[in-house]
Amino acid sequence: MSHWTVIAIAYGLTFLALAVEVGLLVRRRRAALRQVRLLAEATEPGGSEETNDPDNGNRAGT
Amino acid sequence: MNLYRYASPSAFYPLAGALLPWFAGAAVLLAVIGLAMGLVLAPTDFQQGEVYRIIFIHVPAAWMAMIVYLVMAGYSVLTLVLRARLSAMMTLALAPTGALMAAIALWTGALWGKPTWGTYWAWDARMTSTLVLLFLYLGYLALVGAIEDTQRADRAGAVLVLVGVVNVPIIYFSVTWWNTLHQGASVSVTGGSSMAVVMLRAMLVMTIAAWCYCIAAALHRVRSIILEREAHSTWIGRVLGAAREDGDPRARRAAG
Repeated sequence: MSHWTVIAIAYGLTFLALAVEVGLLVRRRRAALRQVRLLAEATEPGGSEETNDPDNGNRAGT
Repeated sequence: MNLYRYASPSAFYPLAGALLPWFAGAAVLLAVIGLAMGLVLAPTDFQQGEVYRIIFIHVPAAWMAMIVYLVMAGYSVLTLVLRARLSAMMTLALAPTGALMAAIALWTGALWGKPTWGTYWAWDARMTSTLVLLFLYLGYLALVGAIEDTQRADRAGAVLVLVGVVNVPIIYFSVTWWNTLHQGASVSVTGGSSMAVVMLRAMLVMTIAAWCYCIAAALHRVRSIILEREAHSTWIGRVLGAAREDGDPRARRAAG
């Protein structure tokens, strides 16, 4: 393997790993926000059964 | 200004949101500059050829793996002594990024080792202790994830982090204490640098970029952890609600 190939593999793997971490961070944040909103809707006076349904919340987030 | 108020998750959450874009932006900008300096401007090494350019990610990642662990140890002390909730959350937020930095240091080191030493891996003190650091990160994450009671998980994790912190000076001084295949330090606080100026500057810029990235990732993750753990608190709804009503995009970013 040439030196530049080794460099490309090292840098490529690193940036791929960082991109995966950023993706996971964004996904976790969206899930956390969805959880908070569902909880807020569920505890609101007059919160409907529909909004309390966790599946409904999941669909709303997709 | 009373800084102690930021030990509260409700006060820290908007602060982290306000700081996050600055650190993320700085990380991207400095990484672009550092990569241009390291891959284009820095000259070819007379002994190693081009492959030495891996150090521009290997060295910052290795430094950050150790520094992040030391910061986690500091937060763990606060968790055990003051029982501060935010300290435990910060420890948990830092661990995956620290583990990633340790993994990057290991695989870039292996890729550099093959053309330079003729092997991807050797069980020498520097490499083995860095592998132990990666296992400490993974062990901490597994332990905290395995205990359902959050407070117990935080305390157990803090004890593990503090036990493992002894490994950090072993990593740093391993090349001095033992006769290792891994080379000695090219840059030291007391002894200056044996590198060319352009190479050193590129490495320092990449190191600051890595600092900024780790801070941004930890801030982003801790905001999610705060939301997950404080979902039942009234202040969460207040902050998120205020952000929706507020027309200022900076306020929306800080809160939501």
